[in-house]
Amino acid sequence: MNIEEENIAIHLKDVGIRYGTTVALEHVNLQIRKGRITAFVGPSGSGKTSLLKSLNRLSDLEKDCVVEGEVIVEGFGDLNAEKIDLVSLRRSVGMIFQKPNPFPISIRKNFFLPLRERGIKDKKESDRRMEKALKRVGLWDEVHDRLNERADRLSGGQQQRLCIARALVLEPDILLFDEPCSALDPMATEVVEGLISELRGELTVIIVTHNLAQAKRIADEVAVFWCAGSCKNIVEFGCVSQVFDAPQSDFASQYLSGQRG
Amino acid sequence: MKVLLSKIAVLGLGGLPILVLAWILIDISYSGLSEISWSFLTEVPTNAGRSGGISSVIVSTLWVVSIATMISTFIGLATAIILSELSAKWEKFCLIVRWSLDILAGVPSIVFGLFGNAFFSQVCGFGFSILSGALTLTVMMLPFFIRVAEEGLRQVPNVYRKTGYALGMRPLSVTFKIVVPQASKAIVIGLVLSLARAMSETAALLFTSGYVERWPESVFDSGRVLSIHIYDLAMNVPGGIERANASALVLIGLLIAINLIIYSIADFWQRKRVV
Amino acid sequence: MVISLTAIAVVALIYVFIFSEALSFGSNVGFLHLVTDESWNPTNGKYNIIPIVVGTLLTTTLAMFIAGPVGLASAILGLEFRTYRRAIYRRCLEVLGGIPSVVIGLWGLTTIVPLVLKIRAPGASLLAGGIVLSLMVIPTIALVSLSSFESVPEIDIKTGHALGFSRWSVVWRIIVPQSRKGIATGIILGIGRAIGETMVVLMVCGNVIQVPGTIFDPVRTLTANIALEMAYALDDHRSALFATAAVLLIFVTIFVIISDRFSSEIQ
Repeated sequence: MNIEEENIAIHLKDVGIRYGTTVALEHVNLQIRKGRITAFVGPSGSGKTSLLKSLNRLSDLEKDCVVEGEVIVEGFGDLNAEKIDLVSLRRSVGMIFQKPNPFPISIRKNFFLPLRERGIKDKKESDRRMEKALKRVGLWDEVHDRLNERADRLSGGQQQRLCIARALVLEPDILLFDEPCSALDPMATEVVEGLISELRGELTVIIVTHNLAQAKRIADEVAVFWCAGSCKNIVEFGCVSQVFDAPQSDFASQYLSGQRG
Repeated sequence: MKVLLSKIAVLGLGGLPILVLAWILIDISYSGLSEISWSFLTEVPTNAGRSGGISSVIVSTLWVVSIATMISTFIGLATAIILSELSAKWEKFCLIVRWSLDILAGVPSIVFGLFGNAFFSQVCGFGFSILSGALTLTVMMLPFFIRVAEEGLRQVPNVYRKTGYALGMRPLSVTFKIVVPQASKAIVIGLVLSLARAMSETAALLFTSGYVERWPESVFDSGRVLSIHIYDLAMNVPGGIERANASALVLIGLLIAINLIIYSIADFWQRKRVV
Repeated sequence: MVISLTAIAVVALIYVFIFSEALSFGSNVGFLHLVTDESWNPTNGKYNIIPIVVGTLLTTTLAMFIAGPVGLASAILGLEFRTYRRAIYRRCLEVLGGIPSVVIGLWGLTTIVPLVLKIRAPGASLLAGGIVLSLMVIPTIALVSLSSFESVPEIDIKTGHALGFSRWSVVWRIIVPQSRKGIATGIILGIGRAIGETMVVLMVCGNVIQVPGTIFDPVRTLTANIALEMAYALDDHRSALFATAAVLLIFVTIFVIISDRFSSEIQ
C-alpha cells in the first residue's frame, strides 16, 4: 500500500505501551490516513483502547501507563519526543467514550464549559456554535426547547449524540471513538453509526469496536489487534474489503471468521 | 427464656440513649424557656449574667465561628482537593498529610486550647481575642471538614475528569468547574457539620477567646462565646443555672437553625447549578 | 500544596509547643517530681499527677463500662428499624452526639449530680462523671457499630435465615461476631473521646485531687486540671500543665495509631 506522506494524519513508529511491567502492545507501526474512518478491532485486552488513548495522551491519566516509540500526530509532531501542549492537543484530537458521559449539568453548560476554555466567552457566539453542532448530530430538533435541562436526563442515544456534538464544537481534526455504541440499543446504534459515516472526508476518525459487522459497515480501513503469547501487535491492516475478504495472517483470518477470540 | 431476657436487655439498654436525649432536651427547655424573652436576646449581660441578656455573647459567638469557618473553608478545600485529585502523583506527601489529620482529629480540645494560648495568643501576639479563638477553632475544624470534603470529591466519577481532559480543558478548570461543583453538596454539608462542632466547642476557647462579656469591638477584642457563658453561669455564678439553661437552649436553637439554613442552601445551590 | 502543608505544620507546631513547654518542665523541675512528690500543689512546688491520672483512667473506664453495652445494644436495636425509620434513629443518635459537651455537662450538673447526691454525698463524683461521660461516648460506639453491622454481606444473613435461625440468632450469631472489628473501632474511638473530654468531667466530677476510695468520691481528671489551673498558672506551674497535656497527647496518638490499624484491617 502506497500512501503519500501529506495524507497521513497519524503515524506510529515502533510504538509500545505497557502498564508498569505488563506489556499491552509492542512494535506497532501504523499510518492512519486523513479524512478516513479507521476501525480498531480485536479481542478484549488486545490493547485497542490503550493505543487510542495514547493518541490524545489520555494515557497520562492511567496509572503506571508508559507509551514508547514515536506517536506522530499531524500538527503536533512526535507526542513522546517533544514537549507538547496537552490542552491544544486534546482540543484537536477529540474523544468519545464507551458510555455516554455528559456532565450532569444543563445541556447548554455542557457546551459552554469547553467553549469557554477555548476562549469563546461571547454568549451569542457560543449559542451559535452549540446550535450548529447539535444540528450536525440531528439533536437540535429534539432538545432546542430544553437546553437548560440536565443533560444526563436524555436517553442513552441522545446522550451519546450530545457527546459527539460536544466534541465537534471544538472543531477537532481527529475524533477518537472508544466503542461508542456498546452501551446503546440497536436503534440508537444505527443513528450514531450514520453520524460517524457522515464525518468521513471531513475529519479523521478512529473507532474501536468489538462489533465486526459495525467495522465492516462504517470503516474504510481496519486494523486487527491480537495478543497471544509474545505477539502483542497489529496483525493485519488494510482497507475493509481486503482485510475481511482476504486476510493475510492466520490470527486475523481465524478471528474474523469467528473461530478465535 | 434466656433469649427473651437478652431481648429485653437490648431493648432496655438500647433505648436508653434516645430516652436520655429526650430527657435532656425536655429538662433544658423546661428550665430555660421561662427565661427566654426578647430582652434576653437583645441586652448585654449584667451582674455576671444573672440579669440582662446575651446579645454580646451571641455576637461574639457568631464572630468566632464565622471567622473560623471562612479560614477553614479556604484551607480545608484546598487540602481536600490536593488529597483527592493529586494523591496518585504525590502519594507519600498525601499519606503524611492524611496521617497528620488523623492525629489532629484525635487531639483533645483542651490541648488545642493550650496550643492556641501558647501560639496564637502569645507567640503571634493576638492575646485573648476573637481572632485567637477563631484560629484555634480553625485548626480543630480542619481534619473533620477535610475528611468529608475529600470523600465528596472522591465520589465524583472519574469519567467526568477524563471527559474534561478529553475536551481540552486545563487541569485547574477540570477541578474547579467540573469536580468541585459536583461535590458541592458534600462540601457544604461538611462545612455545616464542622461549623456546628465549632459552635459547640468550649474547652479550646477557655484560654484563647477569653471571658469578657461586653460587646466586642474588633476581632482583636476578647469575646465570650455562648458555650463559655453557659459554663461560667453553671459553675462560677451562684444562681446562674436557669440562665445557663436558657443560654443552652439558645445555643441548641442556633445549631438547629444553622443546620436547616445551610442544608436548604445546599439544595437550592444544586438545583441552580443545573442551569 | 503550600496550603495542605498547614495540616502537617499545625501538627508539628502543636507537638513542638506542647513538648517544648513540657521539656522545660523536665529541665527546670524534673519529670520525676510528677510521680514522686507527695501531692499536687504547684504553688508550693509539688507536682504529683498520679491521682489525676488515676482520676482520668477511672472516669474513662467507668464511662466505657456503661457506654460499651449500651452503645452495642443501641446498635442492635437500630437493626430492628428499616429504611427511613433507621435513618431517623441514626439522626437521633447523631443529635445526641452533637449536643455541645458543655450542655451535657450542664444537664449532668443539674440532673445526675442531685440523683447521685440522694444516694450519697457529695454528688459530684466519679460515678456522676462516668455516667455523664458515657453519654458523650455512646453515640460514637452505636453509630460505628451500626455501620459495621450494615456492612455484613447480605448473603451471610440470608444463609442464616435459610438455615432456620431465628431473627435474634441471626443478629447475635452472625451479624455481631462478623462486626467485631467495627465494634472494637467504635470502642477505641470512644476511649479516645472519653480521655480527651473536658467540659463534662470538669462540671460533674467534683475536681478534688485524690485517689477515690469509692465511686461516690469526687475526682479530678487531667483535662479538668488543665482547664481549672491554666487561668492562673505561671512559670513552672504552667509548664507542668503542658507536661500533663503532653501525656494526653501521647495517649491520643497511640489510640489514633491503633484505630488506624483497625480500620485499615477492616477495609
